[in-house]
Amino acid sequence: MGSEIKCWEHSSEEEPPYPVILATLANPTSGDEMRVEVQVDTGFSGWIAIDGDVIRRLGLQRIGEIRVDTATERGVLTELYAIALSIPELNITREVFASLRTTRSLVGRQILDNARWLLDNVGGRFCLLQ
Amino acid sequence: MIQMAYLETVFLKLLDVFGGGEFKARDVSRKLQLKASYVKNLLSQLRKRGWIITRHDPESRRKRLYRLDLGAIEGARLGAGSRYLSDYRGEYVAFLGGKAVDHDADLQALTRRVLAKYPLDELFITNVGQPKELMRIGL
Repeated sequence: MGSEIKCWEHSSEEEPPYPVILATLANPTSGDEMRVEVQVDTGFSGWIAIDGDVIRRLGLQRIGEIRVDTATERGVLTELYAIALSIPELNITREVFASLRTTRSLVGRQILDNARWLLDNVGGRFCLLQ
Repeated sequence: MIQMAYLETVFLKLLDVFGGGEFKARDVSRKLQLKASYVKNLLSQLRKRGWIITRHDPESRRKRLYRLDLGAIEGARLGAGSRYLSDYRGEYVAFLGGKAVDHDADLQALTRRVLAKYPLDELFITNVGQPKELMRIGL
């Protein structure tokens, strides 16, 4: 197992705590940005999803709607927003993504799958490994 | 009750006129030269079949905006008469002013291409039929 490059403390907003990583999300048009704890969701096959608070605060515009499958329903119509994502630890700098609107901001497997990770629920942290 | 075959014809006509763009009931009335009361019934029938999506018009909460749901018609017999539904099935498609300007099975590649070329506030991206790379959440 590789050594740890960076660890993020689990969010304690709910019990039990859940793994997060810190990302910078920006409006690709205005450049307005904010730092957000995004939940690590290995059940999400996409890239990034953002919640209504991020959309409001960054003043994002809807760029479309697509259908996605959820754990309980198939073909759920979901809004799309353009977002510029930065996660320096993953060498992602202001890359533009079509992001889904969800009830909580998420990072999915398309981004997570290119690295090695340690889920340490005893220590309450999620770590990027070398 | 409006016949299914007629509804399919209407869907394809609306697709030719409005593509992936939003429209109002009065636009349908004008373009298809139909009475307003008949259009209301027609749109209601299309909505019941899941072929159109509606939302409140931000300029007038009493009115609605409509858009053809190109993602929900997988398995319907609609594909044969339409270039959109036969050529783009299983892909993501970007519309500008209702007309398709680009398409790709890769959502992010399409998004980056069209955002570099066109104004963000005039674009609309959706899937036609079920995408080959359907996104899943919580599975």
